[in-house]
Amino acid sequence: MISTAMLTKLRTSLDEASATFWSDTECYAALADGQREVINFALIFYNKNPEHIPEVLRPLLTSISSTIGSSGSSANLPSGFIAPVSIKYSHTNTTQVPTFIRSNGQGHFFKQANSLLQSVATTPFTYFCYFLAGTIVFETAAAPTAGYTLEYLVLPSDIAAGQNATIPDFTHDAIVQYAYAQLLLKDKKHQEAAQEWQKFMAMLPNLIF
Amino acid sequence: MTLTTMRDVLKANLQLHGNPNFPDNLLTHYLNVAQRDIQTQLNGLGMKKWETSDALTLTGTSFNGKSVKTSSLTTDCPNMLESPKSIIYIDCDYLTA
Repeated sequence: MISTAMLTKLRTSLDEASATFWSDTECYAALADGQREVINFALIFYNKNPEHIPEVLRPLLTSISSTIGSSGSSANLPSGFIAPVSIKYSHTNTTQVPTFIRSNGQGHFFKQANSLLQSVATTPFTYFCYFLAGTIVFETAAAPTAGYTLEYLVLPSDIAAGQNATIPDFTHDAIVQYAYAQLLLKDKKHQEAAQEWQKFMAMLPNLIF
Repeated sequence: MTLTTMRDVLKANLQLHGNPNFPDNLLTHYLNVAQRDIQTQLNGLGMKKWETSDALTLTGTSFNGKSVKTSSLTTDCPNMLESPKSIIYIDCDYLTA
């Protein structure tokens, strides 16, 4: 469904064929929020099982390859970064090898200090990295220049006039449903909005596969 | 099978790909422990593949009032399997001992 079709469908639900009480800008903003809400729901499932990317999230998959300067060990995360998918790294910027993503949880430093769980520069498949304050940190520093490839999920463009939804067609009805529930709040139809919100919530599980 | 292949088989069978708790160094450690266990079990059964020899450096000392010669196995036989059955025989030359 293209963005204007989503707007038309939303306006049909609102029973307002052209902008009077709800402006087109408000409608598109609600549709954009709906897209993000569907993505947030899919991320819950992805984070539980990072081996499988739900179909909803596949259009958001992108990658970046870059380098880290002399003796450095971290790089800023790309704009719009939502979640990591997979990382390759070479501390000498030669052959990049798959790199483990370490959790920043309570055991982080203990695992980092374990001789068998450390990043060892000379041994492939022992590289570790973790995420810290908008950066990705590699535990084996550049020598002198490091290279990495990061596959990640990126924020979609907001739905707008001339900007279609990024995530697949089968999610579009749910996005419109979300926008409908949100826009009813402006009209102070709280009970009706809650009912429409429940319909939206009921649609979500069917979108994850 | 190479060490890399053995690690890959482990990763594939146990679905360890990308699991940060099982980097290569740890898998290699497990494989070495397994190998030493198997070696210990089979030691003395004619497994010539890992038989080898080292020259001993003897040092004179006294043990229980007797003059004896000792050798540091840690230094002279650094790769010896840690099992009493590991020593197949010792050849001594009386002229130099």
